[in-house]
Amino acid sequence: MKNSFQEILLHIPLHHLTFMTPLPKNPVYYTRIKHEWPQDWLKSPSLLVFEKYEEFEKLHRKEFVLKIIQDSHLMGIVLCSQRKFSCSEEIGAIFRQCGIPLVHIHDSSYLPLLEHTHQSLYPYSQISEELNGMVDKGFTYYARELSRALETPGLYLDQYCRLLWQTGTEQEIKEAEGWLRKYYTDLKNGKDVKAIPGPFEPYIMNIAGLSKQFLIASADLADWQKRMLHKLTGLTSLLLQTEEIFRVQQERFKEHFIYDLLYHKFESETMMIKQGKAWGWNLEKPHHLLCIHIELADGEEQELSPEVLLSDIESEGESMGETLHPFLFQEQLIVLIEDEEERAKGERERFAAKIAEKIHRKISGRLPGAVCKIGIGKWYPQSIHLNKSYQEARLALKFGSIWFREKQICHIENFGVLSLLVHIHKDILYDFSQKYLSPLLESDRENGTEYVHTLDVYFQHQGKMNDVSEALFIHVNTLRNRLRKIEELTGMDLQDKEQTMNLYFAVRIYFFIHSIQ
Amino acid sequence: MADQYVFCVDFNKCIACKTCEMACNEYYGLEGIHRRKVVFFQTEILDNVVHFTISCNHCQNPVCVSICPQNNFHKRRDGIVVLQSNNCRTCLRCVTACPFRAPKINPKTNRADKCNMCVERIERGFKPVCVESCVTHALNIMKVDSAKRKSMAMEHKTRIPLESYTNPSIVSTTKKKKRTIFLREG
Repeated sequence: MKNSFQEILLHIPLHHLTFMTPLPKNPVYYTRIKHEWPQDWLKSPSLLVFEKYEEFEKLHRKEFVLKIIQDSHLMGIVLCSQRKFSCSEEIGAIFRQCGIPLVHIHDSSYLPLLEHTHQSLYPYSQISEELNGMVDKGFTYYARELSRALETPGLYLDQYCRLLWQTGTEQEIKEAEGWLRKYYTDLKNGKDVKAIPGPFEPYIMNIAGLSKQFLIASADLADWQKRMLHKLTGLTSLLLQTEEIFRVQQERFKEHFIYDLLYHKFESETMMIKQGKAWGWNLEKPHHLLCIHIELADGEEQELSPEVLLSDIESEGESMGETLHPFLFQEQLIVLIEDEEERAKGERERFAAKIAEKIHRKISGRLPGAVCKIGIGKWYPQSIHLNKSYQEARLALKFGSIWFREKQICHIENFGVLSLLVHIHKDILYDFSQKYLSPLLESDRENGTEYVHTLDVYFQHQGKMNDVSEALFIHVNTLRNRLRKIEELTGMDLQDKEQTMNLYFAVRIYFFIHSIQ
Repeated sequence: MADQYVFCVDFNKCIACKTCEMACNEYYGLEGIHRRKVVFFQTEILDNVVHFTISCNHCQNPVCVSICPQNNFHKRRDGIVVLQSNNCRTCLRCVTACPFRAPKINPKTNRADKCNMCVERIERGFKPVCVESCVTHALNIMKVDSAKRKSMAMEHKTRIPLESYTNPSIVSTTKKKKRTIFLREG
């Protein structure tokens, strides 16, 4: 059985084809190939194939085109050249009206295929070349070409059934969108695509069996047209899979690099700097390290895309004129801030805190219901010590949320004497807190009083009576009575600085021990 | 990062024979120091005294890493915390900061020393020498997904403040099975 012209075109890599007119839906058969323009009427169904550019130029003459188009044995015209050729809209419309395909093949090595009118095998090794062509020209080029050749709209949906891209005439796209609205839920829920009625049909792009994307095209297509679309979706799947594998590999490399950076696993500082450059990080300069923990409100999880947050933070840095490197690590957001300026110690801390505040505001704006806390590690003049800064930022985050519950941003340098507590044995700490708080704890346990909590709030608000009473939802006089009672039970005077300091540490230690158990 | 090594201790099987301690000392030629130690403790939940073999727990957030002024500690991709003691100045910070008291001063070298999970043996496909020598198989190592580490932390809180922060790489079986006594003739 002879192959039709369209069947033969299926064997030519798509990136070597330009469809100057749509291909007729019905198969086009020819018996002869002619390489010159006919002087007389053709005697049998013929395909005209030209390789010389000057021959193409005759197509610019309308009278010439009108003459040859009348030949009933003219089945199609193929132009073969690497040079780009285009004819006027008017000439194109004439060919379109007469249903004569005008195809441009960019590589002459495929011309022999047109001679083989018998069944020919598709060389599968060609897939690699086709894929390469697709990488060069991109999916959108192919889709647009086929949409024009097959006279069908093309709507591209990602794995979440979001419309990413569309091609076709305005009317066609409108109809296809209407159809998509109607069957969107079916598609999203993974309903069998064959069960979804026309006039459009989804073509599935199965990417490594992991995700599915769709190309929506007209359902009313001939077999060869569908095969051409299948070829497009097949190639796209391969391309996306290759890209996905590459992306996953890149991510893994980056993950290893980040791990090594934060856990100090480099052979030398030079190696670290060299690897950092691969990711666009200049680790020759010192950095601040921020560790961000976000606790999402209910329902926000699905809508949150970490990439959005990361790009938000990056753009925030750009707007401030600072270089920020945000990334995800062990369920937390880490941000490196480049800082090589000569600054005084306090000023450097304020600089990091200022950026942290802006990041916090950005995240809170994006996730209004979420609780966002930021821990900042020490600044070291060499990036090789970022591993220490990371552990300190985590410490600041962990213990900051215990000691300074009202603070959203904690710098390890601001912990002062409290930072020593983490290194003191628990029994010593326990004894210390019991020494001062045991009468209050006993009263709380037996009488349901809230003395320890009252003291905690009292210290958190620096002893401002109005603020404390407001925070505790009690009257100021009640608070005064309660504090008097606390003084009685502990034997401490809250007006005495030294005694108050001991009580302050006892309360801090008490909550420290209890929060981590 | 995906899989990381953790020590796995079965309280039910440990008989406090201290073979693990001895094997480690012999393998590394240690004198006057134990990288691994069998400890005893009693809790409210368990009536009996529990034997527990402990060394460096290769924590997820090792405090030794941040405390060492020479930055001598690093954590490998497989989770093992390795100490490069060449630059150790014996400042003792790691010794006092570690909630598990894992780093100790080696009297021979007068530098900090700690368990490295027999990293050179692991690289050759063997288990650490303490694990290999455990006669009751109470001590073992396993690989766990670091993302799932939280759920696999020690069931028994040691009530050491930093413990919850450092997230030690140790999995323990705590429930002591009730002893069954079989009476036999003769």
